[in-house]
Amino acid sequence: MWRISLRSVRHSWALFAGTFVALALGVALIGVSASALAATWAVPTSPGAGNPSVTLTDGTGTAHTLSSGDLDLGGVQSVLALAGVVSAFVTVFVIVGTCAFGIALRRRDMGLLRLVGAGGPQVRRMVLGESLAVAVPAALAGCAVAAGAAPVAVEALNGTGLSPVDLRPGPLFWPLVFAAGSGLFMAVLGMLAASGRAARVRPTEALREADLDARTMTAGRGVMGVLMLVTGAVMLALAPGAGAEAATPLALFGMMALAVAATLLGPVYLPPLLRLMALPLRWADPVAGRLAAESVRTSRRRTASLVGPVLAILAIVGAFTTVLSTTGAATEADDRARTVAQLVVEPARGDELSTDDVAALRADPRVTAVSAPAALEVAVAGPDSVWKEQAAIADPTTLARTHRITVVDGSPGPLRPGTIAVSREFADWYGYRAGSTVTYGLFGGRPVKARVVAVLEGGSAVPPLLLPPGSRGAAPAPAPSRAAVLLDKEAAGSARAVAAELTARVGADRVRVVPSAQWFGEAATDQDRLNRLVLAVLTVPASLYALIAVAGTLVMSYSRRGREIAGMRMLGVSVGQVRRMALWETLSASALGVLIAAGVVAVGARAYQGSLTVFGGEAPLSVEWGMLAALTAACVLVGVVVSLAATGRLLRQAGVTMVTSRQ
Amino acid sequence: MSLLTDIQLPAVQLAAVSKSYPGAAGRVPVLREVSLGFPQQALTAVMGPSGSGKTTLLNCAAGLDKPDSGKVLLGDTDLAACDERELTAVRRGRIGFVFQQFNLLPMLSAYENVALPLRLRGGRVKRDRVMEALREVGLEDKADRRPAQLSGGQQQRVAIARTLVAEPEIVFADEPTGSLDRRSGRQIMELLRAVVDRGGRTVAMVTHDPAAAACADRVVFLSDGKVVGRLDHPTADAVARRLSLWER
Repeated sequence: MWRISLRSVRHSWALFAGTFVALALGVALIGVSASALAATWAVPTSPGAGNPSVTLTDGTGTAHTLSSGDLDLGGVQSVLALAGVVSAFVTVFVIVGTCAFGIALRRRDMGLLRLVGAGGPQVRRMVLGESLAVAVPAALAGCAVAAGAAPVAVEALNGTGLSPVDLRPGPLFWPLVFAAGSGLFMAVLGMLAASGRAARVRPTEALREADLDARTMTAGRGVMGVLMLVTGAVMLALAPGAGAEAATPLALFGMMALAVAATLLGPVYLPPLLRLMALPLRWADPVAGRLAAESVRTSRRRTASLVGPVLAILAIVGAFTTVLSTTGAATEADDRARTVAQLVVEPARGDELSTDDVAALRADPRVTAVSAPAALEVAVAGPDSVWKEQAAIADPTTLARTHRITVVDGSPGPLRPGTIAVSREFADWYGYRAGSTVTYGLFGGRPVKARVVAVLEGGSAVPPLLLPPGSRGAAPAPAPSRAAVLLDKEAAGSARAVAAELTARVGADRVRVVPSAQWFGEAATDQDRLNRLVLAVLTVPASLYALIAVAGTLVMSYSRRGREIAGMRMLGVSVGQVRRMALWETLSASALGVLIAAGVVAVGARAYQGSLTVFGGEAPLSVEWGMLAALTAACVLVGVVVSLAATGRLLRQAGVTMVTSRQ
Repeated sequence: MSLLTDIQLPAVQLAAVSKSYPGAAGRVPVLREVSLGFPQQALTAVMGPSGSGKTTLLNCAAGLDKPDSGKVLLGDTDLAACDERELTAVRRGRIGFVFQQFNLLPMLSAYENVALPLRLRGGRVKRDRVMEALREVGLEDKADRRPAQLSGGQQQRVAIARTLVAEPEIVFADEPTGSLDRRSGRQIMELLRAVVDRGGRTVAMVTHDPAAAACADRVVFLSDGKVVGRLDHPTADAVARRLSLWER
């Protein structure tokens, strides 16, 4: 059968081109993500042995030594890992689609093989042989592309500033082995599913004239679809009550599961949707529109294979962008809602406010309170591990005046040595209450056992740990990087004027005082820029990939439509009408993909929005309309251009010979 | 022509075979209790108007379709009772097919198409044997051509060569001359005749072409899912007369 596989690949190359390109690019994307990830692992995380360190003992009695100044590559690593996940998700989608489509287009060949006496397992072997014949070179090609692209990608990553240090292109061998392996795995998985279908082709199907797609809904597909639907629905239902940390993966994976379910269950709900879409088409363009409507409706597999990549990429990009930007918007809204202080003070140079500056601010008669938390990093010992945590030296009482802070447990008062306050997130996540003991250590210092006096909820105003004044390790006590200033009632109305006076009083060369609203605006812009970068790393490669997949699918389907189009021409359908038919087909199939993706994202985003808490209100929903619109436009554009080009090519070849020729 | 007697054992025997298909208004019967034998070492033609059930009869006889009731005996194997795996084995070794269209795998050369049954059985393919079959149908010089590079008649001959190489007990042919010109059609019929006369095998053929039917040893007429007549050693004129009788 191996020989037949090879010949079949050579003969119907256009059918396999889609799979080849999809797989090669998928492997390349995964390879680049993996090698960039390897590059971050290759960075020595402890740059200097001389940095201050602290040794803590966890609940099991094991001692752990952590050093300050360790590079935190976790952020960039999770971005890269997510980029790999996105790529893999889209690749699986596309590969399974192209494999199934390739089989569907060759039902007659399968039937003929069965007629001549090929058993189901033999057909299966042939199909698997084909998939290997395509997948192995595709994986190698993907590795070659990845090897070439990885250094460029690492360079580009350095340009974004997402990584705290410049990365150097890391080792390539294992990332590429991993990428090629997962690519082959995906291809074989896709082909296994498709080959089951191929093996069930009945011999009589060789005798049928038309490639009608009967029975696209199979039991296995239905079961998987319902399973995914339930999984996605349960995840999204759990998200609102799960807390911020768990809601993100629940919402993301829930949306992914729903997207998969939407694809699997397509045969159930697509026909009525398509009938609905056909109505305006028939009205708008009686001949071409009607032809297109019938064609998308009868060739369900062709339609599904175009809807697939559009749906996959829009759903996943929509999911990621919406979750990211909604998180950002909710955090900002929460911060704004919680801030009582009218002014924000930042150092004019460097990033530390000196004690004198803060004292000078406090000395002004119009100033009621100044909270200036000094952020620092500490090591915290848990039951079975030691980790780093953000902390701040701050006075909870002033903090509670400049910000709206809820006391969840305990009572906030000035912190004395041996006591700390913790944030609600920290308390919930690690299971602390007021009265429980936290073991932490400042770098260069000794382990401290402290009693939790209060659990506070204050959004980003309250870091996980609030330490008493005077806490210090080897380094000098940290200085605050900004201060929030609460003015008294009379001065509150003229915050801008007071800001100018305060700047003059302390010295414009030392501090910069701005009204809180203005400060939030500036901070939001910075955050947006960073979010955009993360999104770009996550989605641009996968989007390009999906666009190529859309093109590949169309090339596949048009490779088998010569006879159909020649027949239409013979019946007197004009060139313009054939082109318009192709246009309508592509537009309606893409529109379906967009609609379904929008539905999935809308449901998921709604669930995620419910999981976010904003002080005194509801979390805002933020959608990256521009990015999603651009991606949609790109999908439609690629689809239209490729289908028109393919139709044009077929129209030029179309002649009487095509109608009678044996394809 | 071979001598036909009813004593001759049938290669395939249909016993009270009924078959219906789901239609708009319930199930539409296509075959009604058809009992029919295809005698060994003879060419039997099945004729009848469109919709009389010719193709369904052939598909049931070949084990491509399962009858609703009745038996289909190939030797002592009841095809109606076989599962898909057993049917595959039967198709691989005991039955050959020649169809009007879509006979050959488009990606394989003529040679590879003929060699296919041997490959499917496993084991080595003897080149001489394949070339011999191609020579018998007069296409040994076209062995490397793809189906798309062959005429309809040539494709049909490759399909016959494929049945020759597999040495089946019976060859089923559905309108083998249907899409061919008169000359190619005659060639095909001569080859099918040779399969019976020189190869000593059995051919069952559905056709609506009286000239093709005239090459058969026996013509069975089918109308409305029932056998309505039989003609041994037919001539084209006699067949045409019978047909005009049924179709009136």
